[in-house]
Amino acid sequence: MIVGTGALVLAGGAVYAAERAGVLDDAVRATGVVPVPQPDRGDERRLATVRTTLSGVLAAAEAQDSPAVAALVRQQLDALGGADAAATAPVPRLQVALQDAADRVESACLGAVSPDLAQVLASASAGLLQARSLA
Amino acid sequence: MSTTDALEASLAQSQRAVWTYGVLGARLDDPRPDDSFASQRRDRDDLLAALDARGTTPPAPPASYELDVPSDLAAARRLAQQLERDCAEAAAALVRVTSGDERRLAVRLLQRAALRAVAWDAEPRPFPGLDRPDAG
Repeated sequence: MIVGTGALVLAGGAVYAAERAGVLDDAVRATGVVPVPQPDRGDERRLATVRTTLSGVLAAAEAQDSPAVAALVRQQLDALGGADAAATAPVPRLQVALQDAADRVESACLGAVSPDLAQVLASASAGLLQARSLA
Repeated sequence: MSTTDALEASLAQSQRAVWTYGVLGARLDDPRPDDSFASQRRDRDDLLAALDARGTTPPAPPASYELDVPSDLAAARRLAQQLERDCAEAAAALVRVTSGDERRLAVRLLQRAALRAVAWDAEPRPFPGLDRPDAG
């Protein structure tokens, strides 16, 4: 059983919260308050892409009856803002899905502007590679 | 932490792991110390190259390290998992302060440490390098 990610969930939640905070800036400006810096638009797209990728892996894990992989990926998604309900891509073999997802998350990490996001995505990529041993 | 400091911190962890796997390899009838030794040497050499590219000469590693030599395979497994956790944490810290090729290296170091940990029977985790098993 996987335990002990509480602190990280907070960190990932902060990444997601910062992304969501961007939509409030216009309203904040109207009050005369200077808003906190918005996250990079590219990082917002990267995070959304990662959530879609992980949602696809979760679907593959659930379809192929791999509860351990599903639990691990669900924890990653929880830290990054939740599953993408719109993910409807075809479900590949789980080993392939995990390797592809690790590559995509790594690619998002390499382009990330935020150090926090880069670090979380690098770690998530490594976690997906570890999860191949469970598939 | 500067990028050079983070590279040197990762290098120090890798040098310690190389030395420790050398000790384990001489005492265990198991292929994993040799595999991990080779993989860690690659990490160490990559880090030395990255520091060299920055024009930095890192301090020489100590001649030896304090080590309670494992008395059995279970103890060796725990030691190896701890080594790889330390390497993964150093690599995760390196990711934060790098970009481009140096970040690519940091990600590779983190991935390799995570895979070596699993090879030593560590449980896969959602965020290696960021989440201690005994944390929250």
